[in-house]
Amino acid sequence: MAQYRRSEIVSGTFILLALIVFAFFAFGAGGGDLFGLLSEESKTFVAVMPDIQALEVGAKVAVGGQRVGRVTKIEYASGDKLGSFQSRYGDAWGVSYGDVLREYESEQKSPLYPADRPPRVLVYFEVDRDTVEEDGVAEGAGRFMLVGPSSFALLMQEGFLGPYYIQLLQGPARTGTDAEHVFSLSEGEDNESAIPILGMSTDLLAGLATQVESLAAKLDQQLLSAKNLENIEGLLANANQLVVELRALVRDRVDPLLDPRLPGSIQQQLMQPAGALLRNSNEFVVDLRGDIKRVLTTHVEDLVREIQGLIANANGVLDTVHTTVKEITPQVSNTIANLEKGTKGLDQRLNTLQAQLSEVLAQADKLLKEGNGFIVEMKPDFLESLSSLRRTMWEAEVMMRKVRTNPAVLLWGDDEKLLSAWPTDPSDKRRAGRAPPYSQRNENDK
Amino acid sequence: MTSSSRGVAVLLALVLGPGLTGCGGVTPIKTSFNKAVYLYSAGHYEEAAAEYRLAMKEDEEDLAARYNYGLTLEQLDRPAEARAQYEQILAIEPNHPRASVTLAAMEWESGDAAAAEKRLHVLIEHDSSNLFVHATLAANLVRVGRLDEAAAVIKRGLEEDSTSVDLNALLGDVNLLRGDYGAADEAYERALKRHDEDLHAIVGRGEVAFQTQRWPDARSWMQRALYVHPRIWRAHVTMAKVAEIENRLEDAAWHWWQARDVAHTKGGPFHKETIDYDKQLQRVYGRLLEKGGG
Repeated sequence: MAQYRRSEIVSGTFILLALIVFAFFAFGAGGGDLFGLLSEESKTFVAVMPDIQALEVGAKVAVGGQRVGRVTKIEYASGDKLGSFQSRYGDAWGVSYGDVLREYESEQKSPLYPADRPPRVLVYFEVDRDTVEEDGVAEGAGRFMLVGPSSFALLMQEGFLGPYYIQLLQGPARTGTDAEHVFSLSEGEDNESAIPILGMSTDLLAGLATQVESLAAKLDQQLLSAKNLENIEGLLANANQLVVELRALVRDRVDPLLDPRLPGSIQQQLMQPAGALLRNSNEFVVDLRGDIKRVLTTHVEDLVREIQGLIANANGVLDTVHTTVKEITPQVSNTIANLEKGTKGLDQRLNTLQAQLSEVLAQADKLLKEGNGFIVEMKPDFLESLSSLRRTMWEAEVMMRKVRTNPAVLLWGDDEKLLSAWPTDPSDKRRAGRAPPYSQRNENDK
Repeated sequence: MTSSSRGVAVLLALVLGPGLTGCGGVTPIKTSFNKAVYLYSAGHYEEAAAEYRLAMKEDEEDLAARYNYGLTLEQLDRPAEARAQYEQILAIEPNHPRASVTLAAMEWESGDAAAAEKRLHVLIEHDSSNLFVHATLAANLVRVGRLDEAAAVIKRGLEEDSTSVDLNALLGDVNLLRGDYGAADEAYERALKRHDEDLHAIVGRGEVAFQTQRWPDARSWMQRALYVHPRIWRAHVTMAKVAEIENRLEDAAWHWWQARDVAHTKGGPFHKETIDYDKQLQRVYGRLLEKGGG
């Protein structure tokens, strides 16, 4: 018998616990806040709104989409209550409700509330204590809401079909005298002591949407006029042409110059005489000076000149575009600036190239003056300069390859680092010795 | 407050409100550790170090944060402090694998090979299933020419996992250096069966082919290696040598130039080979002249 009773008690307890848990979750799913009810530390606010759509008592109050409280009461504002709200607003913030409203409307250039529907609904809502900043200094997680005259309540809807809720917007953080308006919290406040803040309904959004549309139309008209479109198309066509010409130039002039397999390459033209020197050093000294100068002046300097010509053309195009579209929008100016940056990048690369050429020539001269014995050994520093020149030309080509494959880099810039050797030989990766770092962790794991 | 700030707030609500509620928004990185890992991977070492310090402040026994902090200090060129971090980890967990391996690497670099080897042997005794430790120890033994000891370490590791890419490739190196080309080729082949783009094994097979004078094979393997990564010193050197043997002098010149360019990256079992690139190039261009009748 006792056994029977015990099992009954255990089953009953289990069912009771299950019911409690179920009720707890059901309450939460229904938008309720059980802990909020249990806690007395909350602050009540009131906002007056022209239209609350389908907002209900119990609806969510959120900051940045996160629940911070709930709507506790909704009532129609009679003339007296509206007047009381406005005077309490003045008392709370030290500024007239009408002045704040007018200031806001003049800034937005549209009425906050539709003329045919003056604000008539008072919405009371509680905000959890931890949400409200007490002393104007952010101390810990959750205490981020600084309520003041720049704060207001906005009626919003979750998705297209979801429930309506109140979104609190706080405006910029303030210090000094403004901080005096931050509330100190007290327990068990009633609706009469609720703090009034500005309220807005979705009608306001409609007004703003119209403004945004009109702004967009204005931008369309100015920015995307037929003339500007023509200019932008011209700009892109010219940029494209520039890329094509640069590529052709690289293919026809740079590639043969850098490929040591080809007889016209810098390496062969400079090295072959060195080979000849092995047989006849005396004759060679004079020839080498001529050879170096011939190679560098006829090939590389011509190349540099041609590329500079192309850049000058591009700059000419840019100037034309500048005069017409530069002032219209920051975006277009930015685009032009990026294009200029791209061509300046090429310019800088060419300056480096020219500087290196001068260095190579100077070193070649020095070598010749020091005597022909050095030529046979091919002085390491001279070779180093040649190698450095070669690397720069390679970088120039890499840049042009990038432009060719994606002309947008001319417009939007390119942050990718230049190609370079890996810091270690990949076939030797196991000998670097360091065990790899730990990866990121799942932030939900405690 | 000014009305313009209200305007900004409304616009923010318009843009962010529906976005955040509808799409869930972008999830920010919350913890210092994860922020630091991100900053380290992006090369912002100073900032990463600051975040790791925060993570360690939150949990002094967060060994992962401490280890990563050590690596960050090394990137900031503060090896002594890094070493202190690794030693602190080992004081808490004496057989911490990553800290031990990295500390051993530092000891090797500073010339204290005996301490490094001892440390790794202890680690293997403690947990023989960690193949990374076997590979690290074996690689360093191969580098100093202690092939028999390396082979023993590799053998023990392969008993744990006979398909290990690292260990098979290292076994290939050992056999290659011993002159047992057949066994070397087989070991490299086993590594490639598991990972067909393993550069270590591809370059190794190319080297075996070169040593056994199978020039087309050597060329083919090294070309494959250069296809995987175009700047491998050993591959360029072998390609240049093969091209010269096959009388393709233009190609030889090209590869000598490339090898000279990436010489600072050289490594592997043949890293001691010194090459006078200028002499190689002179010879090739001299032959080119003769060939052209100049």
